[in-house]
Amino acid sequence: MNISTLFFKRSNIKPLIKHIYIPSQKFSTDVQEKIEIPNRIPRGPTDILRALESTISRDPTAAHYKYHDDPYLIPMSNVGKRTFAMAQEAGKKAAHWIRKEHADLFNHREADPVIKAFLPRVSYDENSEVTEEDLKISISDVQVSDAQLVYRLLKSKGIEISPETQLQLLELVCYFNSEDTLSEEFIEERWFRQSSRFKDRQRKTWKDGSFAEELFIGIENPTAETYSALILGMSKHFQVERAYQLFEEAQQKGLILSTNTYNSLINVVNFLKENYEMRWTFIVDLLTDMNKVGQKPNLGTLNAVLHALSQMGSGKNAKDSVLKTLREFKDLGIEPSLGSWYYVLITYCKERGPVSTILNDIMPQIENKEHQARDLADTNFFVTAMDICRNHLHDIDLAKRVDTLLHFANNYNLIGDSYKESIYYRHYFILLINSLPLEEFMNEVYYKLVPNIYVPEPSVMTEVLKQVDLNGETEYIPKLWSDMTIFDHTSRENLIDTVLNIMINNEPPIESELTQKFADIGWNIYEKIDTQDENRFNKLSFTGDLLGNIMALALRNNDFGKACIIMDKLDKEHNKIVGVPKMEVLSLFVDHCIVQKSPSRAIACIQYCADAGFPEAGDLAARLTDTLTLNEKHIHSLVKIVGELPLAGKINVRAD
Amino acid sequence: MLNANLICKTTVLGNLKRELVNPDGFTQHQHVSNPKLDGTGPPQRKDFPLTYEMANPPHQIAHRKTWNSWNTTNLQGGLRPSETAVEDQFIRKFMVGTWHRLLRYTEELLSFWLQCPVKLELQSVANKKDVIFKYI
Repeated sequence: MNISTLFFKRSNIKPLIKHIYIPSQKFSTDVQEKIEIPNRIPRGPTDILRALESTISRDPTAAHYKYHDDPYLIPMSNVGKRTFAMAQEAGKKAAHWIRKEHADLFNHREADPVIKAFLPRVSYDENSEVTEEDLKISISDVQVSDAQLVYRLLKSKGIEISPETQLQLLELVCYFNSEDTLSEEFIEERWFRQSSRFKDRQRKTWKDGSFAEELFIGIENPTAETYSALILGMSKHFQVERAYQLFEEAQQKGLILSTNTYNSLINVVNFLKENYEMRWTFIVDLLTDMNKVGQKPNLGTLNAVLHALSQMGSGKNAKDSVLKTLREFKDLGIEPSLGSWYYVLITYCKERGPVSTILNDIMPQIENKEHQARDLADTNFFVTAMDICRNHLHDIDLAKRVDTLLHFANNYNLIGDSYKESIYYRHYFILLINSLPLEEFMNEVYYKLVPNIYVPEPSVMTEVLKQVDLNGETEYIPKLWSDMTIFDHTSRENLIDTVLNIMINNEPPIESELTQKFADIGWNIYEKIDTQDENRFNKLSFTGDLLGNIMALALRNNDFGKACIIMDKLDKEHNKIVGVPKMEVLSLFVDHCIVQKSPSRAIACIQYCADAGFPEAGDLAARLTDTLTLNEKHIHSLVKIVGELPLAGKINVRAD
Repeated sequence: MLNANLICKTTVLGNLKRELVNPDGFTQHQHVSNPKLDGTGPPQRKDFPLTYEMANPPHQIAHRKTWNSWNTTNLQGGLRPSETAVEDQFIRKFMVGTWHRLLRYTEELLSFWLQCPVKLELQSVANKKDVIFKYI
């Protein structure tokens, strides 16, 4: 019997045993298995899509999916990313405009059921026949100006509008300050616009005497909801005095205002009252009042109080009040959102205040959790937390914890907008580059995030270059330079100077391929500056030092031809070029001239040295005459440049 | 039977030579007279570039390019076959008629028209010559 048959027999044993046991199971009657049918789990129409989506995470090696997946069409620089995305959005807007102008061509009903988003919007003018239904539709579609127009039409025709619709309209126009808003469809514009919103912040933008107020006056017997809507709108757009007036008016009438109305007033307490004491008393009064009328506080109340406290200076009172507030709301069962923690952070960690490690205490509360957007301020948390890790605490471990939280589940949705995202990464990068070993930083952070997730700004690039210089790890320079070219950093004088200086100060060992690469980078810089557009704003100009550095790189690579081009440039445009190269570079050039047996070039260089006032010109001339046999003409011009003295004793030919 | 099969295949491949397989297994080439090739026709300069799409003469389109128009509406009992064909043609004409860089514009307008999401994927080549399939 050989092994295989033995094996075959052994492997047959198991099924045999099974076969024996099965009947005994089959006939046993004492096992009563009850089949339990699980309860049906109700699923939404997009649940499967969401489940699928949760299996995919962001791939840092691929560009964002909003861009075309084609090497030529993927933007690399920050400007490019913005331009490409906005250009797409502009195309989308153009299509919307066409549809609006030629609405009659788009009224076919292809989809069943009809999808409203594909149909042109109904437009109204002075002669439209309208009903209250149209008004309701405009309100639910957030068409602020349409809703106003329809309302006026209805009024002029004397059609009665129900109080509910009137209230809805009032809430709409108050929230949007009687202005149309950017449609939610244009996500790119929402993602990239940030500056305008920051500017508008904290400034009265409420339109006095606008449609909202007109509507409010037109409502007979205003209710608490009517008052609430107007107060909310006014405090949202910083018309604070009148908001407070209305609040008092409503109270005199004995109306019970909503919790959100109270919140909005607490939010703007800094505009209403002068100092800490008065503000805090005002807040406490409002909260007591809420309690009296039986309105329960919510997350908005917590965040409003914390927001107000965060702007009350860096005194100890504010910090104590923050803790007391958190304590009390915890007892009420209101869980703080990320926005609340943001306010706590900015109260505790002031730029010119004592160092506070409160972020260490906050992290355990929020770590390993998925957070939903519950307050507008929630999107401020991550960028602020990272700022504090970098500037306040210099704590790399904490920064990594914050970053892990950001990438947990769908928390990345709370990053805010493109501006906040890039600030977040700026802080993260600069903190890591200064704390991690360079190799680890490059492999685990830089190569992973750049350029698809984050494109370093010039200031961050400077930091990276600084570390490369400190560590002398110049092998990263070619990669960094190519990145800088892609990111449009190469028109910045300080960055170019830094790169050149690093390459000059860290001379690669002989036979290293870096010598060649460095020379290429140098030449790349030369060509870039040389071929710039004449009419360019902020033109780069050659300096003597810069040209000298490029020349040194070319010479190290034994590229005498390119060095000569630069020497000619220095010579010809010496009145335009500021400064002169270092003496060592010029001396190196003369050495190469000697090797190349090119005395006339060497003499031109010595002439340049003499003109620039280098006392070493004489030594160079001596070196030249020592090593090369010069003809009469050359010696004649040399003597003319440096005089006889340095050459005395070396040659016997007189100039005249 | 075998012979017929082989002949059929080579015709599909569009060779100008017709291959005949003898029962004894030897292959014999029979040249079909072509005025362009045998020198009696006008001279061929071979300097006019064609892309792959252009390089298919009409009699080969059915063989090589049918898959471009295969879709489930053409199955028996399929819904709206004619509409799909018209829409297909519409998209092509629209793409050519619109400036091709206006990607989002095209996507958006087509989706308004066809009332479903429309996505365009463009591919670019570094060199114009990369898309040349052959010269005639």
